[in-house]
Amino acid sequence: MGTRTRSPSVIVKGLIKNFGDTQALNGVNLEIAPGECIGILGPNGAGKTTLLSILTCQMGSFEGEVFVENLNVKKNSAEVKRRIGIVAQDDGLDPDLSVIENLILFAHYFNIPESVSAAKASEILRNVQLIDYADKPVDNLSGGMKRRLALARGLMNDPDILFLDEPTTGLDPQMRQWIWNYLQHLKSVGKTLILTTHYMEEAEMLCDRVAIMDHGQILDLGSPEDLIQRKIGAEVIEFQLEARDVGYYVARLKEAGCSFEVFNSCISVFLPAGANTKDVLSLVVAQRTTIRKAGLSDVFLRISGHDLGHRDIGGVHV
Amino acid sequence: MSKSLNAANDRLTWHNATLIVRRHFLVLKKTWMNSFVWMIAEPLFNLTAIGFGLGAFVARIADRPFIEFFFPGLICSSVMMAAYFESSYGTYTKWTYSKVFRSVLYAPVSAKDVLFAELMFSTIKASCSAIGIVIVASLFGLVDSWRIFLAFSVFLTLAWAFSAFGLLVCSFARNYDSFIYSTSGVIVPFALISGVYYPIGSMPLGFQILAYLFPLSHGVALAKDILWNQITDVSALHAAALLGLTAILHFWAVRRMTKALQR
Repeated sequence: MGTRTRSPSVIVKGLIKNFGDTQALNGVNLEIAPGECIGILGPNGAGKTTLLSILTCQMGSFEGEVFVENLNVKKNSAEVKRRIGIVAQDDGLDPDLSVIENLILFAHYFNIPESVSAAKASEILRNVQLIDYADKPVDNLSGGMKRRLALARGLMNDPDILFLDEPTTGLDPQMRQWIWNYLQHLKSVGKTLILTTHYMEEAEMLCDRVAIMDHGQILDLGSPEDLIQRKIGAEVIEFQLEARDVGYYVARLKEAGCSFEVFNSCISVFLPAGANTKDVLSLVVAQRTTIRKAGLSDVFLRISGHDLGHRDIGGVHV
Repeated sequence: MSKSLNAANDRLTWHNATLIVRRHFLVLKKTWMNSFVWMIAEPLFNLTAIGFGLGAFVARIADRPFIEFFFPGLICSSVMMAAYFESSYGTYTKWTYSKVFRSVLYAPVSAKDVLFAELMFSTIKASCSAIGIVIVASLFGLVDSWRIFLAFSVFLTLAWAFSAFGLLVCSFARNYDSFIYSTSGVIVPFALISGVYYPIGSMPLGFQILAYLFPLSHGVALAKDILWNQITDVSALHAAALLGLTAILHFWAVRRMTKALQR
């Protein structure tokens, strides 16, 4: 093995972005290694899309320093854009052009000759299974097809880094699976992938590291396993209680030194690996008790709070 | 730490701008019928209705038949309309509704490239409108001199000025309704007082001064001077005023829109 280390693909230092009185990013620091797949998780309004917009040179005015492939985005946006691919949340395709024109015209801006770009566009369209739609207007495509076309366009310049803003939001399960497989493939050929997502399973499956964002800050950063182990442990026991009993059991769990969280009338107790489940179970008499493996959604909810949406409660009833 | 974008990110690359213009023409090719009607048919009806229809009841004006008086102003006002509508409604649509600008800005192009492409495209489209009118008018025997080629320098400048005006309005627009103010409040009324239909000198002094604040008046005056072969020192003043107003509109529009596109 060689000892040569490549410099980070992305460096973000003290990034601040305000929209009027609203602070969208509040001092973000981040380093991303080449070939890494990093997921940025956070509730709506956390600052994920703003961060991605700045990294992809779509937003010019901000405070702090941002380097992509060792290039300062404030000074070299054109050069940065030459080396990256962007797959936007709403696809950002040119609605006046056909499927293949979207790719060929995009390639022109990279000075790729038409003879090369036409062949390349056909090849990529084959890969994303859109070759039969090459001459169709973009408006005739379904949501999943548009997302694949956006992915195809993001790859036209053979970028080292691909930025994906919620790549599977709004897609059916089959299409989501297809996109995940394709991203796994891109990862295996050495592309750096930076994606935002709401889906914990997506982050757990694809990402080497996950950054949890809220209120314009990265609240925690690590591999999914590391975050789960550090923030939650190995297992979660959920006790569904009568509302009037919550206070009593909270006191008992506190006394026993348990790590837990209360949401409405449900107490979730977080157990480290090797902890004695029976001891905890003996502390609480609940209407319903669920024991399940700790997951990234627990980390997410623990770090960024419960006022976000619904919890996914599954697992084994005891 | 500086908040502003480095000048290098803001650089205009003509090659990129022409690639974007090429994209606009590819789309235009798909909807050429709309543009054709707009560029040629409307001025043709204008020429027939106002020039020949109304003109038949008007005695000589500025010592010429009305249709001859009207012809230079008709080209200038048609160029203004074509450029303004393309760079206001057209640009705003590409910017906000269809989000074409966003799709282009994912590529290594700058906001300035996108804006210059808009200015070029509107100017070219407006110039095509002028060419259309000249061809039609020559069938009626209204074009009898090589000076028409010289007059195109005026038409091109006017087209650029009103393309910039359209962009400027875009930079202030909140939605499509915003353009009603600029169309009904500026373009249409000023077209009526800029010497297209009658000499500016026949209006009260206040209106004359108002008219000369608008680039169209200088364009019409200059086009007439060129086509009627009566270039004087005053023509030079009109040229200077037209160029000056165009420059102001251009820099103001590009500055505001660059900022808007870069957020």
